[in-house]
Amino acid sequence: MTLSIHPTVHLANQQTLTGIWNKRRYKIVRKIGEGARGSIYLATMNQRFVAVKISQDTSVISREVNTLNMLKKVQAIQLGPLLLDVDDAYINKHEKLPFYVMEYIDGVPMNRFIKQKGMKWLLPISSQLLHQLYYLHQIGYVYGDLKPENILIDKQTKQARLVDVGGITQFGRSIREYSATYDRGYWGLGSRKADPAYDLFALAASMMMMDPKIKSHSSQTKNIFALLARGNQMKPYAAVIEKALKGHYSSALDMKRALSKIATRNKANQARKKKLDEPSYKVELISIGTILTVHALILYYVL
Amino acid sequence: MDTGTIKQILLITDGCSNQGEDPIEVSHAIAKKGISINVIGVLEDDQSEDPLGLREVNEIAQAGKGISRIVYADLLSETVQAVTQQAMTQTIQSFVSKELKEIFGKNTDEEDLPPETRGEVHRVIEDLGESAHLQVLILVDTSASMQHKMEAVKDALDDFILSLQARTGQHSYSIYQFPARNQVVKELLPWTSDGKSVAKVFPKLAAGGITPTGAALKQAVRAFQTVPALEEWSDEGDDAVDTSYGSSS
Repeated sequence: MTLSIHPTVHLANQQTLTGIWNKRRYKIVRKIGEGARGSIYLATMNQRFVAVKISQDTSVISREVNTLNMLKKVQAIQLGPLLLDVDDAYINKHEKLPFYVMEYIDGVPMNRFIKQKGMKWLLPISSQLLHQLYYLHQIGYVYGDLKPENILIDKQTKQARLVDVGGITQFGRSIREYSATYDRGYWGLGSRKADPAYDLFALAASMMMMDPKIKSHSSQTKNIFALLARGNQMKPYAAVIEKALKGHYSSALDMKRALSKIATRNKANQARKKKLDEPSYKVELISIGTILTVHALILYYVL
Repeated sequence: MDTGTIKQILLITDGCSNQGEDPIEVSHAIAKKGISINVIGVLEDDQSEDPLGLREVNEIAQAGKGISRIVYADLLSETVQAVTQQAMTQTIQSFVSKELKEIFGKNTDEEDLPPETRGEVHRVIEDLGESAHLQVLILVDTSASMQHKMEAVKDALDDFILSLQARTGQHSYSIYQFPARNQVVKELLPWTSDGKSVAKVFPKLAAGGITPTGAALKQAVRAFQTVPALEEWSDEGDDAVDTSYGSSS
């Protein structure tokens, strides 16, 4: 056995995977993702789009399937992608690999979405995520590897979806997957043991990274608070972000409430601004009008 | 089911051994004693991936029933954690599949089970991985070419200890360097589970000299006291001490 193998799997477009146990057939369309734990392909089954995850590392598939099954226990909301099938298939004459099939979410990663549509989306997306994290925490698990790349915004519904379940960890265990920038351990602000505050830290860090100025400086410092202060666009949320980074929110709901307070304040401010702006705009028009008329009259009389 | 202690050696190096015994043979012998050897090869920034000199990295790990990765210094942190985790799962997995064979017959592999059953097996493997006692001996190559990578090694080990501390199960680690003044290997930190010790050790990690990887592995493995029959290892080749350190002993 070669142990330095890469877990990615190469499948050809149009290739068909036939499940050995459940006999379903999947026609590969194209590769949509590749990571340290395997490859994800867009495929069709009976003219329906699905996503197929396949890996050289069989334990990755078992683990993620276990996680997806566990998420089904949450009935209130759909956490993670919906699991459709689990099977093995021959990817060529000699090689048999396990895979699982999930719903295909046609979406844009949070970082690209906000870059395109603007910072006004930051609050609604964060609130949606906190709502989902709350339910996940309720059943005793943390998401773990929370980062903008793992958050897909569905193109149709504009709903934030957590797509990668590889980092989901039971409370009290060691976080099994993380990315340095979003990991509180890396910033010296806490342990790598799974608790709700771990996710809230990662979410706060993800919010911060939406400010291009903060993102571009992120590797230059190990003080995340100094980093936060560098970005002007984060000013309205800085207080909440800071509290989350410090681990002061014990529940996702607390953080969600704090964010919605900001949202209401923002709206109120905007409304007030509008009220103030409109009349002064009119006054200016009238005054310019008056000045012009006076000038015209003077001119008329002089002539 | 008792998995006892999972023993691993983590070797961080940047290339070929050039003195003493064949590290692949040593590694093979160590694996037979129930200790797996994971190797991380650190690349130069301008090096292409998989250069010839680092082929040994994969071979040592393969002989040592461990995992190997070849990475640039800035990816070291994530790699140390991933490699250890993966190697541990693998050790438990091979243990579990032995059990499976006992229950279901000689030719049963995990892959022969239907996916649902496999999920159950995996849950057991995972629980064991989280709760087993993990003992890791970290062996750092401090030869001259590693000098400018030491900062990255330190960060990676700091980070690794943080992950160890988060585990439910017990852990202990020790740190050795090679080569050292008048010695093949030098103990920098005896077995401990204290997370703060790494920082104290690192100023001592002076780099220099030759790379006697095989001999270093052979000597370092003695730190696992429970390993039987160390006496049968010949001492020949252990004296691959770098003469460039002078003879002021």
